[in-house]
Amino acid sequence: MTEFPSTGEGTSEQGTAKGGESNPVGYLSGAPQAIIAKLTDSRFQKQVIWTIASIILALLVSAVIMTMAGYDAGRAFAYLLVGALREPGRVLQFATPLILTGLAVALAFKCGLFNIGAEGQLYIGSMAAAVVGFTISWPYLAHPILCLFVAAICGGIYGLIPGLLLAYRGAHEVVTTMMLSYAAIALTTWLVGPNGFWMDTAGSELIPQTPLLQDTAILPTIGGPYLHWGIFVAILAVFVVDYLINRTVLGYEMRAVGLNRDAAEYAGINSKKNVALTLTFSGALAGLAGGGEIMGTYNRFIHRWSPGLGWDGITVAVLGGNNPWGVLGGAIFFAALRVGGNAMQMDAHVPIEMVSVIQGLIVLFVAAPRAIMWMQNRGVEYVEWVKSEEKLPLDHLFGIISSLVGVFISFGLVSASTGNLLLSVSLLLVGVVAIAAFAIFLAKRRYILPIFTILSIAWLLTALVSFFTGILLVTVIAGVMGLLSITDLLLLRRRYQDRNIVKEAES
Amino acid sequence: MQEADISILLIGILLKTTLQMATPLILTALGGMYSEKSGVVNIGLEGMMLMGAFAAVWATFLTGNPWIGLVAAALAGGLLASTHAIVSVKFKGNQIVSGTGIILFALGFTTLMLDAVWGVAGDTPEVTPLPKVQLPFLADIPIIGIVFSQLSPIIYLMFVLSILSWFVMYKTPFGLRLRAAGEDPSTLDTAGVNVEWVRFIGVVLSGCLAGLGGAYLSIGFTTRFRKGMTGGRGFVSLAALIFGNWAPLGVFLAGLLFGFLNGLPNIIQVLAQYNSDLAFLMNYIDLIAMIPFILVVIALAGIRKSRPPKGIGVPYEKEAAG
Amino acid sequence: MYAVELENISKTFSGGVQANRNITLRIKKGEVHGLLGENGAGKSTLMNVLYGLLQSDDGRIIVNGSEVRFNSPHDAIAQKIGMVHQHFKLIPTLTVAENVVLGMEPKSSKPTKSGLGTIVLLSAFSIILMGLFLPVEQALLGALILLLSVVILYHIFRMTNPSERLGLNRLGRLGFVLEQIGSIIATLSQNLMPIGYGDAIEKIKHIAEENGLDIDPMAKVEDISVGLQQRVEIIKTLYREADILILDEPTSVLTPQEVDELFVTLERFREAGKTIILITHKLREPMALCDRISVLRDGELVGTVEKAGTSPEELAQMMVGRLVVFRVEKTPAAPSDVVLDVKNLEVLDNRNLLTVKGISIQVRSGEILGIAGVQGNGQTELVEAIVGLRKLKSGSVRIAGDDITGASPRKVRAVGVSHIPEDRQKRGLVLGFTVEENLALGQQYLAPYAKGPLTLFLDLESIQNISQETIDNHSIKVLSSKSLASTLSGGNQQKVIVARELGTKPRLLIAAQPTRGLDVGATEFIHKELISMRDAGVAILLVSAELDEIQTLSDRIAVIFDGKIMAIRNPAETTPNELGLLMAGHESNLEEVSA
Repeated sequence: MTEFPSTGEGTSEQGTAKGGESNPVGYLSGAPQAIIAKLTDSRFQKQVIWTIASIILALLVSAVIMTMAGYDAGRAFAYLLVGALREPGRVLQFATPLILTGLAVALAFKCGLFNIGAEGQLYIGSMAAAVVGFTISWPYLAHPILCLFVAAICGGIYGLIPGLLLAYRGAHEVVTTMMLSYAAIALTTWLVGPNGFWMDTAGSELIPQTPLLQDTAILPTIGGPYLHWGIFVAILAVFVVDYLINRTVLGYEMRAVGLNRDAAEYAGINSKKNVALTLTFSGALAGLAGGGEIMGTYNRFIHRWSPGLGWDGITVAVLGGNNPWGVLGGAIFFAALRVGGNAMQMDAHVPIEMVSVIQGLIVLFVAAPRAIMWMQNRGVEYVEWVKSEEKLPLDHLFGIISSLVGVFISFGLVSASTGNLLLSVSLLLVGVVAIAAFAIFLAKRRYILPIFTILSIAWLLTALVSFFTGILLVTVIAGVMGLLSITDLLLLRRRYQDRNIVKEAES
Repeated sequence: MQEADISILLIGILLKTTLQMATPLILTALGGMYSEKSGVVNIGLEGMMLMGAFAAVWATFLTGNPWIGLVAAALAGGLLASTHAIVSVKFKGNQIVSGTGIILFALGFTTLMLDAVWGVAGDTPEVTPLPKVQLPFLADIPIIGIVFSQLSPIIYLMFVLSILSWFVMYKTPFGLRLRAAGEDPSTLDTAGVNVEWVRFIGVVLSGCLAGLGGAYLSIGFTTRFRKGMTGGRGFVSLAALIFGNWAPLGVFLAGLLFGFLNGLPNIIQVLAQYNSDLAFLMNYIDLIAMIPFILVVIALAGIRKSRPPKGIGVPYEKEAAG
Repeated sequence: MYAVELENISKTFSGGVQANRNITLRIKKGEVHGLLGENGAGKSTLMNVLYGLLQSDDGRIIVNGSEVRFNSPHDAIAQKIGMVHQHFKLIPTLTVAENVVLGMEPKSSKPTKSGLGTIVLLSAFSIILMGLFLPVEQALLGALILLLSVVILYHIFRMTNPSERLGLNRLGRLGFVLEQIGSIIATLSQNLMPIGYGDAIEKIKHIAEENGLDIDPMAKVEDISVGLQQRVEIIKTLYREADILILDEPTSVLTPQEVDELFVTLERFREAGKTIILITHKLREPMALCDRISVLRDGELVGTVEKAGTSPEELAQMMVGRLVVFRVEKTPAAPSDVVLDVKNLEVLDNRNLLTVKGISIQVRSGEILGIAGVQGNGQTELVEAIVGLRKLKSGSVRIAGDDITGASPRKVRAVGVSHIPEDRQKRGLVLGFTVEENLALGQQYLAPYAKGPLTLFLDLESIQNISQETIDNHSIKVLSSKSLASTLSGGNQQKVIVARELGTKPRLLIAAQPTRGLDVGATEFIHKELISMRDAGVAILLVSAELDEIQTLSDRIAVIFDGKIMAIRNPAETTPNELGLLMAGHESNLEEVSA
């Protein structure tokens, strides 16, 4: 052992460095150790917290959007929840392919690749499963296994192609997988079409689809009409992918390539092989998802059957933080959203596309974990700003008075036309805020800042509401007033900063 | 004589279809160039296009003036892009993830609004499209007369914006800074330029242009908005951008090529009508629709090595500069 | 009169590293001030604060007597402060002129062809479109309005800062709004008027002539040498009319002769009245050039001394905090069998240029062969070719008789080659892996790290146990073996790599820049490790840009220049001056020692 003098860079850790012995987690062994390590890891905790926060924020924003668009947000959310809870079998059925496509995307992410074309691999896999399913007759247990196997192989090959192109020709996988997925949809449409090989000619209507699968190939349902054995395949896949990523040499090498390709190559890892293999596995998982759906839900290949399961896989992977178990949770959550969305459409008359809006918002929030830090900083700054004593210059009275005038004119306009309730309420709100601002301004000349903030937000919201209700003149007035209040805010901020600089110079 | 006329007509229609198909692609790809040259991957172009297409119809529906619709499309695209900019530039989030969110949001939001505004599920009612432009002095020239007859003004706008983009990208300080932000943001920072702003503006511009591209689909080429009407054109534009090597001229040419390939099924339909020998091609129309996608893959893999901006996809962390 | 006063500057990074602690530094006008300190002492951070690139948590900056507040380098540039960074802030794909003007683009004094062309084209387009949609009178009116607005806009654009000219900031609320609009217009005009490259090139040429810094403004930066790139950086600061020049480790990429040239240039700047701050960790440089020298250690200012009243020994002690042993103890080498045998190696670089031009070297077991040379003369490519990361054009590589020409990196490792790569964060470590995962890197597929049939599965338990042992043996400071490698300091990261590479019991160790960016303690540690490996019979190929390091450690020194070995010297029989000449490509009179 060599004594190491502590100079320079060592100082940063001296306070915290303890060595391994004192680490309570260090000497536990086996799987529980990994789980405990994961749960006690602060990065993991932060990620989970932010994911949950994202979901809440996204629901809040969706509520605003629904209210603006004239839907009853409370009712919509109620049916969303009820609908999801009412039919757990349905939820798990929806979740089955999502788990697999989510795993496909997450596995590729782990190797630093973005498999945006899971949809195509899913189509190829499902096509293969359907063909094996209706052309061949095998015994009961063997037939589904064969079908799933073929689906995985074909999906895998369809993933291998972009993998090889990326590894050896440097073709960007985002573009190639996406292009190949459009190609796959077109190809399968042709194959089951009137000029293809596998069109179902038995029925009277000529829909581009294959004949029904043999009975032997169909996955039996469990406890009800919806949920089928595919869910076990999906859960098994979660276990396998988790083991592959964390406990095999191959998984280790994939992660190394994903995190730092140069370092992996310097350490003798063949990054090309790993890239190609990763996309193959990823494609196989997506193919499995397609096969399972065909065999458990659709019972035949219908052209353009997938409602975007491959794309949803991306969302699921993002929500699950690319962790196999997270993917499982994310898939079930999204499936619940979808199932609840149906109920929402039926009973609250909000189109099911609202679910897609919620998903999009969740993903956007999940992508920006720094937002929370930013909000904290801004919050602290704002509080300081509010607290700082200030004599308000008189010219801000102009902003308040014009707001009041604006409210009166808008009220007149609204009552002259249809007299929309929502708009009236929001205008009333603005009026109250403006009067409060006036009072505070005259009385104490303090805490004017939050009032101006609320005022500008209220005006902008009013502008939005009036735009949706179609009273454009009010939109213009509210917009101008909103901008005016924002100008006031900016001006106040400038003055605050100037004051700060002066203070600093004095001290 | 007769046959010659038909073949001239066919060539004219072929070129015109190409131009019509290429316009949204080129506009969107030019937009993508502003974003990606500044170092921000923008796979949300598809969503921004969709938003633009929808906003154009909505604003036209409300005001009755398609020109206002055109402006609204650019604004809506820019607004959606600013969300992407906030997430990926301001909060330094994962740009691809954010882009995915943008697409999902736009897809859901536009369809939701179809129900909220018109109470329909698929198509909006028809609105006044932009008036078609007929260049009087070109009508008599054989092929060109057919190509440049009754084109949407957005097509001319596309030419203008292509030229302007070249100028902005290579001749102005903004372009220089944009390229620097994409190559090496820390260098731009040391030169005293705010990297976040440059990237922010690049992303917002990309949304505006993608919005215009979408507007062409709804009020330029057709007269209504249809659910999911962009049909992956945003992604194809992205491919055109990569294929065009992130340069205005390259993007323009790649856009034309992809427009041609995209329009191939339509062109074959016309061909099959005029010439019964070619009617058998109609059986393979789905396979022909595959060709552009396969070609892109082959082209990316085989023909040219593209050189993306070095700093692309990586959020700029100021602390790391020290 | 002070040019710059830094008072009580403190800076803590978000990771918790406190880089500057309460530093007060005063720099006189017109002096050359040395800022001396080990790597990681906080010199660059302090200067980045002065340059506005980083914001200090605490403290004041006073430039020419008045307090300033730098939110970005933009503000510092306005105060005539310029900085040449250690890693050049240049964009390789742009030309010299483009790089110089970036961020301060001049507007052309006369209309450029492309600008005029674009305006004419666009106007014509708009007029044609108006002609199609509107009746004749309205179209004419529209054209007139268009023309007028082009002219007006052009003149607004020519104003540098409209709000300043109109004195709007005195108008209160309305003025505030107008000022905002004005600044938007100013920004637009600054950003969208064509760049006047003609004027810029004139100015660059003028600066170059005046200061003896010859450069071709139209060359692409990626095509010019490192020395010239530094010249571009200096011109960049002069272009911005900097009076206060900060140079961060300017000599680390130069040959001794180029360093002398640089010093002549700096001398000229001093005579012209410019203030220069020279950051360095080498003792020779401040003693040669500076008037006063400030020493930093662990983020704190140790002291400021006059050059006349100090000695290198005193500076070294201030820098390190204890007496420094400049030489590592080592016994004479006992070389035996040839381990590495490279013959007529030719290698292409990333741009397909021949970069290694027929190199033949041999390294025997139990000796250290040092490769001296300025960066970019083929060292990187040579090493990458030996370890199998780069295809050879021709030639052969043998390890102890085994032909490994063109073998895969894994095969090369398997025959007993270890490699400490030159860029530890990019190539040595996977920063997103834990320390124990990093310690297994490269051998993850072998027992004891892997188990099961065909060793397909990781043995997490033994990985952890082995790592813990390694961490203890090499006193790597880390919270737990499960901490991410990115949370380690630079020195500890390098120790992880060294521990890993030495742990494989190699026959040949290739160490590329093993101590770059490390402090004296870590450097000493690694030097001792290398020598004990040599004594244990390992063949070591040491590539370093630091002549001191090469001379201290090597048993033989090969000098590389332009992809060729210029000569091989015995360290006892050569001088830094001779090596410097060889590194610059001057043929030596002495006969070449056969390899």
